[in-house]
Amino acid sequence: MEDGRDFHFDLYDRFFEDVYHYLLYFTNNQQEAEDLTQETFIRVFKSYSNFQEHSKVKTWIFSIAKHVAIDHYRKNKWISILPDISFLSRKSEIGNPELEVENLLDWELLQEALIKLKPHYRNVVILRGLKECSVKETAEILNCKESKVKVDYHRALKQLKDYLKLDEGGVRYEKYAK
Amino acid sequence: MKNMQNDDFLKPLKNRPGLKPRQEFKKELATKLEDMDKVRSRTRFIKGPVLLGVAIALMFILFSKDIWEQILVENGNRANEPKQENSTLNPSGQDIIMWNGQVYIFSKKIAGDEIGMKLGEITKKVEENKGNLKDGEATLVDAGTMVYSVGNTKDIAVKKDDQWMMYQIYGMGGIYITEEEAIVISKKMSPDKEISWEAHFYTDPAKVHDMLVDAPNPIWKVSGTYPLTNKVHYYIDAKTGDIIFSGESEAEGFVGGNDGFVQIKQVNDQFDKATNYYSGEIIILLSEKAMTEFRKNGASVKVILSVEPDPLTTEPMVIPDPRDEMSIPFEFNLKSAEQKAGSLVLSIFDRNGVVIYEELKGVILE
Repeated sequence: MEDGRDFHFDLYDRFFEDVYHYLLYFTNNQQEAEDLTQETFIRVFKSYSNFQEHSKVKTWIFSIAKHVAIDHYRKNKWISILPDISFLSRKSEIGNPELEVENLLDWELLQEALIKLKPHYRNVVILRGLKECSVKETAEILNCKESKVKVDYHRALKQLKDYLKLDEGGVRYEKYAK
Repeated sequence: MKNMQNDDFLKPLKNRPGLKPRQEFKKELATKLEDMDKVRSRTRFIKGPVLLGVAIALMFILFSKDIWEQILVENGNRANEPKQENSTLNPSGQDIIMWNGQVYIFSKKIAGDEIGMKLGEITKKVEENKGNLKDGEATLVDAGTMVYSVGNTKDIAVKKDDQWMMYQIYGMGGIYITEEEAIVISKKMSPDKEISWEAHFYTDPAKVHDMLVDAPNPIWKVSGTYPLTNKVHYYIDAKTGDIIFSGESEAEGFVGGNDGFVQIKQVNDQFDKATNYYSGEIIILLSEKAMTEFRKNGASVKVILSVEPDPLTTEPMVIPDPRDEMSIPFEFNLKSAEQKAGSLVLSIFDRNGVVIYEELKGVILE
């Protein structure tokens, strides 16, 4: 039916980029993100008739994307991680902490640190911090309580900062320098 | 020094390269989905009759006794005869040891033997009883056979005399480690010989602990009780034998610690709406073991109020002289009336900053 088909493709147009972004952040690999985006929308199309609107469409689609990502993670648990040398702090020669942050906190370091988080924390950071979903939306997508989202977001950010050797103010420091 | 917001450091990642997807890919996927849609539309009209025909054929096969007896004999299955009359039933279903997730037929790993059950009989029993069973209920269907619902109505165990078999209609299959194996794994992690162990099998890990939301397989929760009633729990993937995590409490967000090691006795708090000032004390009880460890490794404590947009944290306080009952004060100036609900987290860490205990309590400030 023409109307039914148009409605499906409306979903596709509305959420394609968001789903792709989420999966790219999750995998840090363009090819994998494309494969998983395809898998997500195939599942959306196959199960759309079962969607009973107990939640918003966005939440439902992201839930599917999350399951696709987790399934992929379980099959490919050994993720290539850059050697620790990437996470060794680099001292700013200028000695200016603000400039040091701007120079050192490039997206690559952040993305590699994000990949090191366990999947649930990674999801919370991507949905809350990067895709700016609300606490409620994030809790629905991840099928957990809102208070858990808040606590886990706090812990995930702390872990990211530990990986990046940032202090509470977000400034890089040499924690164990003697 | 710039005082960055809690998650402002993520900003570089929000505009990372590669966020714009390839337009060719978007078009290719759209075309693929359109093709799927066309195929689905075409086959819709023939689906019903075909499914009906398949269902009739399946029913004929399932209830064709002679065919299945021949198959089972060829596979060397034993005759289906009761062994003992005095079988012991376990109403909780927790003595499930292992089940081979073939669609219908299961074997018992410990004995190593194939247990023959006629497919028609088992199917009929399950179909007759599954709709009537609630979680954990059992129904006696004949002198030696109990059909039993475990976990949810999709998991049905059939107990024939003293041997269990598991029947799973929807194909959640697999081979699982035994209860004994799960306890052996846990003992290696906590080798104290005075610990007494018990294990429970859960088909739905998400209902056991929030940390198990993503667990892919059923789990064994193995609990070890120390002589002074402290407990340690190991959550073990029942398929792989991997320890998913260990902990001591099933309170939400709990990290580390032992039951009885540190306990929150009570929280006395007050919230001044006029000034948005939230203060109080958390009264904690420390076990002998906790006091010893804190004196030996040093311990500090802080209280975190996890609210939006940014969590608030007290200054870390050293615990110089751990006592069995202590009061941990806290005070927070909330920035706006929007920060009304969140969690109060008590975090205790050693001199190296390693968290050794955390527990949280939800709060609503109004």
